[in-house]
Amino acid sequence: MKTSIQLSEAELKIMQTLWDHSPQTMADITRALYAETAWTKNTVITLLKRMIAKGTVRVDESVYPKTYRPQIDREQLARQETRSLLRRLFKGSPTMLMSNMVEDAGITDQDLDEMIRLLQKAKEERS
Amino acid sequence: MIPQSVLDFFHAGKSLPLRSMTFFNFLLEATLAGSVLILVVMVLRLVFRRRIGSRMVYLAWALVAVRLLLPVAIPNPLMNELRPTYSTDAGARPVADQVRVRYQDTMATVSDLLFDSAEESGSALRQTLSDIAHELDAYTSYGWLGKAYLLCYAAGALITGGVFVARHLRFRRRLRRKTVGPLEGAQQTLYQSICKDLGVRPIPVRYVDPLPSPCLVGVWKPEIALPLTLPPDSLSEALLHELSHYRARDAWWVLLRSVCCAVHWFNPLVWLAQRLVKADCELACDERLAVRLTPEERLHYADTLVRTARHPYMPRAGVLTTGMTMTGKRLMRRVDAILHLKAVQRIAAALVAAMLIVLSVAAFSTAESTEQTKRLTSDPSAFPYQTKDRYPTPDYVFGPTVSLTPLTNAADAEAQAKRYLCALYPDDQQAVETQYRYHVRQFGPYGWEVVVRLPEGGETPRYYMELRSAGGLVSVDRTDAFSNGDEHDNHPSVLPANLKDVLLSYGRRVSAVALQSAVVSKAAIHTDMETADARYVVCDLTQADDPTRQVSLTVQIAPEFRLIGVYNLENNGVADPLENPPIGQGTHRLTYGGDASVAFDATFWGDSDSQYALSADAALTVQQAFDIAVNAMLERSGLTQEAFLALPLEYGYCDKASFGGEASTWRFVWYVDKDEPTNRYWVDFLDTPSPHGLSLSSPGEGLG
Repeated sequence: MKTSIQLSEAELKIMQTLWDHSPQTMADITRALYAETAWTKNTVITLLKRMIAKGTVRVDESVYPKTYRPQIDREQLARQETRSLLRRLFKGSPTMLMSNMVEDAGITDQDLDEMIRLLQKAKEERS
Repeated sequence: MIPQSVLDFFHAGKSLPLRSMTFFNFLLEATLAGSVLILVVMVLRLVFRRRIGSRMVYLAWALVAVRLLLPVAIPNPLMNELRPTYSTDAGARPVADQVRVRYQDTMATVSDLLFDSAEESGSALRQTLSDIAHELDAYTSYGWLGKAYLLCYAAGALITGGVFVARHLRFRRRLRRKTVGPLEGAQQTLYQSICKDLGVRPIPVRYVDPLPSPCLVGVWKPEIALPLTLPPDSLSEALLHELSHYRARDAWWVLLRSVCCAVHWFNPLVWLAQRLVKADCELACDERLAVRLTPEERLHYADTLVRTARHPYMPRAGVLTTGMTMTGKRLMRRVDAILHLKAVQRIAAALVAAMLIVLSVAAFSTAESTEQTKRLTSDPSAFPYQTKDRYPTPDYVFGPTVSLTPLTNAADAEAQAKRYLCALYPDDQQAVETQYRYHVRQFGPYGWEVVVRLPEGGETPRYYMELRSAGGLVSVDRTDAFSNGDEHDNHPSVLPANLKDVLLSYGRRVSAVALQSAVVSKAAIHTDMETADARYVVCDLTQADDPTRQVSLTVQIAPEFRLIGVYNLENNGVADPLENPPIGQGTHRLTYGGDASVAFDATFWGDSDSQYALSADAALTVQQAFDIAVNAMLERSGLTQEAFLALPLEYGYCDKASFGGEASTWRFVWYVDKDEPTNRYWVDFLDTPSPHGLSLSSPGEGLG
């Protein structure tokens, strides 16, 4: 077994869909996620290929259309320090030659709640 | 080791722009002025952001970047007064000048040692010294420390720049690898319409997973990267934001910022500033967008910012924070600024803009002004040191005209010295040509020193000369053989016409009253042979209508006629006598007993501040006092009237009352023998109508 499973947030969404119900076809997954993400089939295919390569998803090619099922379970993932992935990929080496829309570093829930409250208040004032 | 070509680029050729001196000066000045500007803008953004808007703040940062990177100096007349000494290198400024002086000091020491060991030619010591001199000249013209600094600096800048480039390339490679796909269908249509709205050419957009935040990457071929997890209803705001960056050419500003950091990698303020600029860039971008949006759209835009910042991979629990994190606060401020967009106060913005322009011009004003030079030397041929050339032009010759031949070795220098001496002192020609001993040594690359000694013994030089490498004569000191060797005939130099005016104008500053109509009676230029700077001008100034009033001054003038200092040579620490002439001085014609035949002159003297003033309110007139004095002395001395009056009266004066209540005192003194202070007649008495308090002394007595 692999010592570390690295999943991005997008991949996690697909994992969650598969954990809820499997096996599923690619069309099933796209449909299930469309409302939330507006991903196209191409997007989902790309993600699934990556996940197969990583060994987190298994494909069954004996049926048509192909079906996908999770290779790892929720409890296994929960033990992983998944958030370290992003930090290592982007946080540790911020390049100077780009402009991020938001600086994504250590925003806490309290911060967000506060801001959401502020936005709510502004919305109410508006209406 | 550093390749020679690299060193040359920074050091050597005059034609190359970045010699180490000027490069270090640029760094020093950019650091000093740039740091001050950074501090000013830091205050500006905190205090005035609301009034002048974030875009103006961003513009202010741009000015800072320009100061940090542009190696330009604007002439500033004040700098002529600020810098204590002049350097011949117009580009050289304080720190670099120090390095040059250090080097020259070393060279001078070695030259001195070489000169002192001239007798032991061929000795091992002399060989070593000569080797050292060669080494110094050939390799260390700029000093090892300068090279070490340059090496450290260049390494730091290269590493910093290298890290930036490497990170950027790695990031772009990762983006390519992690790309999931482009915009498709309705999203592509939306993107096209946003581009059209903003009036920009569409640039590539890619979905990337994982990616923490939407971003614009690249300078030459920019593209937008979006996180796959971006909520679909936030897409238009994210695209709008990034395209707005693109339209404002923010990528170029980011590049400029990176170059600033690489060039000024050693300055923590610059790194702090770049963090602030990054935040201000986003605020300016928000502001540019917010003014285009309706209040509802602004709300949605702020909402997008917050939702983009929310990231499920960030730890939800276990983070012990009170209040906001740094990022939280920053985001909060952004949201606040968008929701409560204030109209920019035009007057405040205009004032700040004006202030910034003045500040940035001031920040570049670090060069010495050449205006003064131009004004004083309207005739360029009048003073040769205006040439940018380091070495004086050969036609700048003092003294007699002798054909100029370049002095390449000691024999040349000796021959040229003889030619000058023969021309200047024809009566000494034979001795010059056949008898004297010549000691020649080189002063760095700029000239020769020739010491001419008598044929037999004696270290006192007969002549001391300084010659230029080009063959010109700088000065001759002549020692008169019959005057104990301490009389120097410093050969008067040929003075350029307007140098005389300059001397007079400076001379008048010192002796404001006396020299109103002064002429320069004699002057000599003392040249610093090491640098070929004519630094010191010594001159005698004489009042035109009174030849007895003369003052010797050392007027130190830099080659561009800037005054370095004026010193009075002969009245060291004493007030200039021409400035404060003694007011009581004068000759009183005195008679005794009404007999005109015994009249003689006596000097009364004193000056306004001393106690020897002839009191204007004295009770006795000078004549009355003199009669009293002579009467008393006749009684006391036992001399006949005729014999006594034949004695020279040395001085007489009325002393102001020096103690409380006491009257002033008259004093007359006749010296029999000036060299023996007790051999004199002396009388004191109080300044009252009926004289009393007489005290007398005769030759041989103690001071009574």
